[in-house]
Amino acid sequence: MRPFTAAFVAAALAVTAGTAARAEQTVAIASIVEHPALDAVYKGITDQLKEAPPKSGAPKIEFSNAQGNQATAAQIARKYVGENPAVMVAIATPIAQSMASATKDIPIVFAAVTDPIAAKLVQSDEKPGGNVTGVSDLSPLDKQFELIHRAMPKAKRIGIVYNPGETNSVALVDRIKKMAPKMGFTISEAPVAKSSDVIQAGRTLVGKVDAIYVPTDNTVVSAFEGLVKVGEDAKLPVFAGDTDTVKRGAVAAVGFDYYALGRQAGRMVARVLDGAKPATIPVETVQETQLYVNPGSAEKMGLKLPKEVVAEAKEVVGK
Amino acid sequence: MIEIDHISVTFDRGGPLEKHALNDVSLRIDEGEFVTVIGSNGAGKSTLLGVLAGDVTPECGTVRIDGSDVTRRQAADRAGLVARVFQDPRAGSCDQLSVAENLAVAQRRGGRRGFSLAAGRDDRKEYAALLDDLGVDLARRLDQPAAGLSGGQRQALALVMATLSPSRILLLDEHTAALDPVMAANVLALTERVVRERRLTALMVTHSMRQAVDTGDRVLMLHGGRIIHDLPRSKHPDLTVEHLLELFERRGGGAAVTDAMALG
Amino acid sequence: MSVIALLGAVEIGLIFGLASLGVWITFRVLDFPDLTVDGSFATGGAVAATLITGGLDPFAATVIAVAAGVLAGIVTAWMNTRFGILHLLAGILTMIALYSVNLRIMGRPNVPLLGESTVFSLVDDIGVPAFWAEPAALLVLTVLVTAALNRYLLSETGLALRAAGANPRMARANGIRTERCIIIGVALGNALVALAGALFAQSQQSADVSMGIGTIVVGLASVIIGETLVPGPLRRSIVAATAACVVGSIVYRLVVNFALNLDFIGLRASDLNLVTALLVLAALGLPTYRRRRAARAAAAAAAAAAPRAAA
Repeated sequence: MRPFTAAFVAAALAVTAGTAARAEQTVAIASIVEHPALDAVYKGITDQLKEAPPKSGAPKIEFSNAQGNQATAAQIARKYVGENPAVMVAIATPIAQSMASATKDIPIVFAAVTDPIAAKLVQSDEKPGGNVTGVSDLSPLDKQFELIHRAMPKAKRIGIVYNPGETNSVALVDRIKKMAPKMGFTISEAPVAKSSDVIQAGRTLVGKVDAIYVPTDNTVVSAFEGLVKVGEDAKLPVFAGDTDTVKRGAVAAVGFDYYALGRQAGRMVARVLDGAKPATIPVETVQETQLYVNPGSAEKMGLKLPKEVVAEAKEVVGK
Repeated sequence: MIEIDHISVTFDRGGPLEKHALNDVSLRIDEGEFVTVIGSNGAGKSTLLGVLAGDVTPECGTVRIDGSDVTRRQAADRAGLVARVFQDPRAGSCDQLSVAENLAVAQRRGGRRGFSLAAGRDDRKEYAALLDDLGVDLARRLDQPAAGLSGGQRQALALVMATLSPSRILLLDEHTAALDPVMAANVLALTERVVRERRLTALMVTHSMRQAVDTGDRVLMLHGGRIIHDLPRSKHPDLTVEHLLELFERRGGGAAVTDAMALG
Repeated sequence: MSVIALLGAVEIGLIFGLASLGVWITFRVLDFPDLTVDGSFATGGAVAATLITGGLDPFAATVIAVAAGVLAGIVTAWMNTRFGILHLLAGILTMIALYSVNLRIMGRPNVPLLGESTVFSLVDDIGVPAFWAEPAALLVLTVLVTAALNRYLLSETGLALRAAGANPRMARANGIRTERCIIIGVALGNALVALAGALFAQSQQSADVSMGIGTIVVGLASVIIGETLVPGPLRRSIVAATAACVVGSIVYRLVVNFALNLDFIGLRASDLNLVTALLVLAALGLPTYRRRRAARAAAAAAAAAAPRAAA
């Protein structure tokens, strides 16, 4: 047993020795978990770097996935720091925090972090101040709630179904609650702890609200069909915070494409590779938004979408 | 020393398996007496020990040990008064702990446990001397786990453990039943020696009429949750196995006498 | 792998080594499978992070986090001893409740500690690079905690605890209050897990409500890996058993590190969990396989020699 273990350990070290520090430009990317949106971000970043490489040439790309585990995320962050890449890229908040904790020197670009200031990744959006900057996936909430207002001018009470255990959702809901009174809305919350609770949460809102809004919450979005059913049964329109969900039955949404977010992050990575310092690169939000509508679903939920709204849509689902 | 007054124990009262394990049993045992208890299966022998040990709470009646009323006291809180050896050799010690560690646990029975090192060097010398003195060949195996001992060795260990720390009574629940005849005889001899040397008040449940006749100074026969015969040796000096068998069949109400009981 | 990655694995291995000690106490010593740990790990992190961002000294915050772990353990043990709830279920109930409790404590799902002072800030200022200093400090702490635990388990009270777990009936017959032992043991186990959680949050500079998920699995894996690595004759010693928990935890992290570096053979990032499991299986299974093969070969050789001898 002893000689075997020794050989095993020796082989392990030998095999991994080859992955020690690199001199050429490496971009080390890590994501917290497999998820269609996060996977799209990754694709956006890599496509962008391939098609529009920095002046120093197309970089080598390394990718790891923490499989949803914090400790693994920590090990990935340490591993990357040990390899001394030119830039580290973090897809989602937990990984961004692990990386920021592991190094104060190597530039870090985050993507799909909803609230970088609350996560203490940057000092301010305009002047991040450290080695971290990136592209936030903060939903264009003002545009989204304006959409609700235009689609349902008489709606006053909005119900929000979300998981208080997801940082991004909590950040969004806090912002919504601050913004809502100015737009004339009152908000009711229906929290869920896991996807199987979604239908029940939706039902508690029936009769209490005029419309339901679902933010970009992993838990609720994964069980969205349940809410569609509630909406159809109770004739209660359900709006979403991202456009993919419209195809699944949401009445309408103003959102952005996570792939586009990835490309925006890729552009930022190229700037850093060309010498820009993260401390002075302002945090970006996704500018390009599109309107998706689903009139068929809206009708099933008792809502006739105004013609002008449908006309503006980039995509009309269900036709 | 032991006063049992009108004890009744019913298991699963009202249920389909309701059993009156002990039926208004009263008993007095003086200090220093060595009592053997026999009876058929289900007669109430183990329940009687259980009541004394604290495993079983009677529904009425009182139990007094050395003057204290212990009827409602939990087993762990009576351990200072009551020492026990179980039938299953594996039940009296912990598999994973060493012989010395098992003895250390027993050494503190009834006393306070502090933070000093258990089974330290001085303790082990003491254990080794005690084991040698009693003729139990375990002094060289102090650091071996109890799981590695044979059944007989484990029962000998259990017996030593039961007498390591002072107690008022010693309860032996068919403790040689699971051993082969040679080992059983050894353990029984050790039992007699230990009870005599420490002047313990002992109750020994046995399935063997031979043991009942040869050991101790009083035989109790139980049946159907009652004491049907109480035979102190002073009154029955010439008690034999045949005699016991006869008594058993006479008042036993047709309960079968097994070969094990008669020949064992 | 780089030195930083290696030391990172050691550092995380040491932190989770404390958690695996906690799991070992309940699972092995007390024979009480305790699932509370997925909750109490996060509670340790939540309490420490919340107190630190509130301005409290990080050492005091860590101590209070440990106290929170003790409370969590007492709740589980109390459900089991007082209400007769099966140990597995009691642990699950506490773990579920702790999810909400942790969210309440933090006020939100994630509390970042970037920029705050932590127990590691002390060693970061020594002048030695942090990636050496932190594992070294943790090593010292782990050795101290393990030594204290060993001393306790070898004392009369600790021995009573071990007896209560090994043979409760015998323990009671020897005057040991087994219910009290369960409460003390489960509280102690969760105290260690909460300590690990508090240290992990400070090491990663963030606490997240989901950070405890998987603690029981990793803890058990570490305990079992450690037990397999301990040579036979030593297996019974308390000192060896506790050391094995910590070593097992570090080995597990090294295996994860190794798995992270295997992308060159065409494995994808998403295969990490599978690869880790296979590597652990290989590390544990191959020595057993080789031992059995050697035993069979020896038996075959003996059988071959015997007929010749008899003839």
